[in-house]
Amino acid sequence: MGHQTLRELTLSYGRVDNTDDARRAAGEQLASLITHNSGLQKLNLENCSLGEAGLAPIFEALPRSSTLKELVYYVAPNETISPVFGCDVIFAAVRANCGLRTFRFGHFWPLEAQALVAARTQPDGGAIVAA
Amino acid sequence: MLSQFGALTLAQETQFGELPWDFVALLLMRLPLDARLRAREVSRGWRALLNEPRFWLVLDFSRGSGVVARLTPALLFAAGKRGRGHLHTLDLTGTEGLDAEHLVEFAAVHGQSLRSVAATESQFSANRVTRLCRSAPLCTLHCYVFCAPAEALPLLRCEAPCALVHIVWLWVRFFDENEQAVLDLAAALPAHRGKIKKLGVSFAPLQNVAVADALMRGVAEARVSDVTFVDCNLRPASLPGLTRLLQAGCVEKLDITNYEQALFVR
Repeated sequence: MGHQTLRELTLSYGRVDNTDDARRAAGEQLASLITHNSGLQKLNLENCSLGEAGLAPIFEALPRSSTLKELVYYVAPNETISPVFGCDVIFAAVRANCGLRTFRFGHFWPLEAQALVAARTQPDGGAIVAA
Repeated sequence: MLSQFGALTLAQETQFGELPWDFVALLLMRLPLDARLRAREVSRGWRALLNEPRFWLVLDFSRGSGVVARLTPALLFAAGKRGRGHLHTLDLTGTEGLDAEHLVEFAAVHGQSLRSVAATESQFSANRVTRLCRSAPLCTLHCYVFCAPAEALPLLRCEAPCALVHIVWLWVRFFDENEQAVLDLAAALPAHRGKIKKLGVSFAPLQNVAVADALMRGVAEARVSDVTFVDCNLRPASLPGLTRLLQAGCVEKLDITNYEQALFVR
């Protein structure tokens, strides 16, 4: 069920059990929130250690959100996200969601996705995004 | 001309030149507070006029009031001195530069006439709220409060001498693993329904689902729109309660920082 009043959700350090099943389940719950909440503008999952298993449902849901403007994650120190996942899942989702204006993932990548979103706030960002 | 500010003499009125006396008074009344204070230095006529307490019934330092000077205790007390015995309203919404103790001291001087204070974003302890309310017994106080759960209860219930307190922002901490303190807070929150915009709870023992659910119900009944839980040991079993809180339709912003505790699990 959607929660139409919720605008901002922060779940910092909301650790998830270290199994792919648990991470996927958490990711699916958050993906459901993104999909069904028509008011959510900011989602901060800083240091939640969702891993690729938990992030996949979230980024799959991202293109379906028309309201989300800010997404913050920050990869935990002991967490590994592969470059392939960064390109195939994260970058693709961020490119498909044109409404996102702030995207922070921590570390140094996926730089392309972060640069893409940053460009949208520039005066000529629309042209870059369209390209 | 017969003026509402009848204390001035004709000789003094002439110092305003061609402008009608009441017209000048209206202009001065519309000046931001810091400019109004400086205007007293323009001439003896203006000083005499601005000695009239009616210019100082409402001290509006709020963001958007046009006051450009940095708000200091000296500025506040200088303006307050002008309206002594008549000062009715003090609005410090969105300002910085004063701490709660300055306001308590101010209320000790002007409390008998004050009817409304919108405090700065400085955090009040429960003790300071109580002291201010004692000094200004007929004054509605809008303030930010940072206190322990036992201290929050009388404020939330608006018990004497805090009958007119209106907590805009409440942060409660130091529960000492006392679940009853959480339940008491949950029960008291609805008494402040619609007043609290932001509620922060830190280090509360919410690992017990029944306790966590009770607090969520209290928050929902109080219609709080911005809720933060820090290190409250929220667990996967708390998710249904959190969901019900969101479904209550009042929460616009939810912030959970749950160090070393898994909130999600299959």
